[in-house]
Amino acid sequence: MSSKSNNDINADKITYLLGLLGRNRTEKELNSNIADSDYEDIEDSKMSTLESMLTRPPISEGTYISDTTVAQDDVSEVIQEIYEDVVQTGIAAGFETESHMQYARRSLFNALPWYYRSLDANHGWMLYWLVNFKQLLPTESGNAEPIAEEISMLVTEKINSVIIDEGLGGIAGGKHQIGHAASTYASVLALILVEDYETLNKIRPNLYIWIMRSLKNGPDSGDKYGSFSMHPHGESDTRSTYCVLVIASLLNILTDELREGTAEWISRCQTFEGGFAGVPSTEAHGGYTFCALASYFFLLGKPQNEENGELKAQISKYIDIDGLLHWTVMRQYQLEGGLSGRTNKLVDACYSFWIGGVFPLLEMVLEEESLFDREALRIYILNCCQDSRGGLRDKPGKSPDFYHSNYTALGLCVAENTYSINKEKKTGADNYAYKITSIPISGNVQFRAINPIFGLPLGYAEKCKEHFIRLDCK
Amino acid sequence: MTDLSQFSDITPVQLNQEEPQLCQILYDDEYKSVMGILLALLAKKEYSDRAFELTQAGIELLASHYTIWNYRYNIIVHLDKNLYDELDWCEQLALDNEKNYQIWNYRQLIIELIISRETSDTVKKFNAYHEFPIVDEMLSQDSKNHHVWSYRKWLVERFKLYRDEREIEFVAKRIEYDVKNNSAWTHRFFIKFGDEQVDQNVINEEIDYVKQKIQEAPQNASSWNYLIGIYQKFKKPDELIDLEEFCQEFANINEENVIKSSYALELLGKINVKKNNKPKAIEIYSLLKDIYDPIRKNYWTYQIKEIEA
Repeated sequence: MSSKSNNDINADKITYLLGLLGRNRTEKELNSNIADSDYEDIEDSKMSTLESMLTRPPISEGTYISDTTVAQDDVSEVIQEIYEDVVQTGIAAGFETESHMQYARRSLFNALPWYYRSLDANHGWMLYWLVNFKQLLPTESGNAEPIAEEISMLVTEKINSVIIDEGLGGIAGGKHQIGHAASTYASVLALILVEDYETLNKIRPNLYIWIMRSLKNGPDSGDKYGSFSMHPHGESDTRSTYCVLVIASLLNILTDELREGTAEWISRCQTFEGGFAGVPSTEAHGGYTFCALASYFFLLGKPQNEENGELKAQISKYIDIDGLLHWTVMRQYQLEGGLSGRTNKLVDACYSFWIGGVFPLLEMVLEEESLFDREALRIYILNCCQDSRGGLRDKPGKSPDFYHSNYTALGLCVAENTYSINKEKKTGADNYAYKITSIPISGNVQFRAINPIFGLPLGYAEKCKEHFIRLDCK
Repeated sequence: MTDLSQFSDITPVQLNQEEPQLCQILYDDEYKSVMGILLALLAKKEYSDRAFELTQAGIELLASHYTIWNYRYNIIVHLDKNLYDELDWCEQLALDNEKNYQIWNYRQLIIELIISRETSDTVKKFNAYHEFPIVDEMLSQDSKNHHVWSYRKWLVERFKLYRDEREIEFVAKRIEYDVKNNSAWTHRFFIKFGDEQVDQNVINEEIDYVKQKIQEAPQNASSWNYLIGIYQKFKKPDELIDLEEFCQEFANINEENVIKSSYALELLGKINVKKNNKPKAIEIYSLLKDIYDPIRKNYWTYQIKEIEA
């Protein structure tokens, strides 16, 4: 048994958090949402969106009460109070860039207390979440700042320490662990952020062998044919499949043999609700839906005639786009403005990307500018999901963490930009994933665009892909 | 503290301990030694009872450590351990680690192993009902636990429990308890229709059942999705029109605009599209856009545009 009790854990956490603050704050300060100095006057457009969110549609709802309604009412009550406060005072929360930057820095550089051992099988993930989060934060110039040499060096060092057999065993979640598709995915993204193509090039042929030998579920694997597993004896689902496709595409090793059967397998994961599940016939879920739809950007054939509607026509061969659109738009909630991951579940800021990121993809497929309420999502994130100590969180009352910080910030990048396929863009890549372009929405916005297929700031995936295409042409 | 005296011959490997490093975790001593020894044993591929026991300590320290799970599985296979004991052990761990999903994948592996070792002489074949109490207990703690429901779905598929009486009773109870539990509705869809056998009686029963549940709580996306899901899977597109009267019970736009369900209103819109009554469909989508579902105004605008196109 563990020698530390839950009380010890809590006491340690409090001491650690107080230490980060540098002084002992009062409880009131800890609970207050945002430091007073950074409130900003609310814009008119934001005010009218907020008022609309606060107006309950005249639906004569019955008196049905259950666990679901009780949990929902609890969240609604807290959020309504926050929004009413904004309307009454006329001041809304601005994005606390500096405090979030501090959160990213200290999470990367300060040693983490023992209970962070909960992330001991996620070292690559921590690097991706935090370096990416830091890179997404707004800058004064509006342009991205280069990643510090110190960070690049340490990312390279750490990832190199978890590569198994020069890639023949994939990349592990920590030293001496076994290779894992999701860890490999996160580690590859971290290396791409610091532009360490040398490490990637070194392991690329071996990763291909690992994927084909140990992860791919071939024609003799029955129902799993076309999917990939996380590791031998590990789970196979839309998430592991997406991870493998991202790795293979970025490193330019996505052969027809690798993706054989995959488009068909993923299509079987679309449920009667319209969203996608991890495996066929389980519940439609935000994370899996993102993975499923994004995967198609690697699986469709070469863009051919570049006519309008071509992408839609291609993708419609595999999935029901209208059903998916319907399920996805239903994830946004009237009062909260934020997004949920499943039908009748609560809002959670991480879905600002898992669901939020599905929107740009659908907008590209349907050639529509905006299919959801971007302003309402911004309002939710800015007013409900910032922690006064820095970092972003699921919802009021929850603590921030690395995971939520990254995916919530990615959500802001979705909400503050519109996305489309640039048909004119010349790229050596044979798919749509590297032809994405963006325009900031009108108004006062700060967040730069991402490539929503990868969850990286726009440009990184493109640069990596071009690098390996060029290398392979030689 | 775990007793590590029997591992004095093993030098623990170093975890991610070098300095400087990004995201350095200050491991506590117990974690460092238990994981250090486990990963050292793994490196030398030791499949022994002492290693087996230590995997328990490792998993208790960090239930999401997939490498240790994988190691434990390989030990089980090598040492020919009692698999039913393993299921019992797993059960206790599941109860202590609600959110962990490694457990469920592991449990599937163990059950597959049990089945693969059965011969025609095996007296007591694996019975899927063995799994019901643990699943029930887990769902009583967290009624929408995605991993537990996915596991239950696997059981149905693996042991052909489609339309099994106990399975139907189980899911009916879950829906009875909370008609907004979407996981339960999804599972119901699977046990009724997952094997692709089309029985007109089952389809009609389910339509009656879900209609009754809609009466109970009309503003419920789960039950409406179930109803429309059945129509999409088994009926011709135009047959959706049969639901017009039913929808009007919850969305009366002809008289005083009494709306009890935005989902009913939405379906009415769709029905009018099917009937090619474009003005009516546009009127309904406009109501949703402006009054009954304004958060989705962009979507309703898109629907209107599609009709006009």
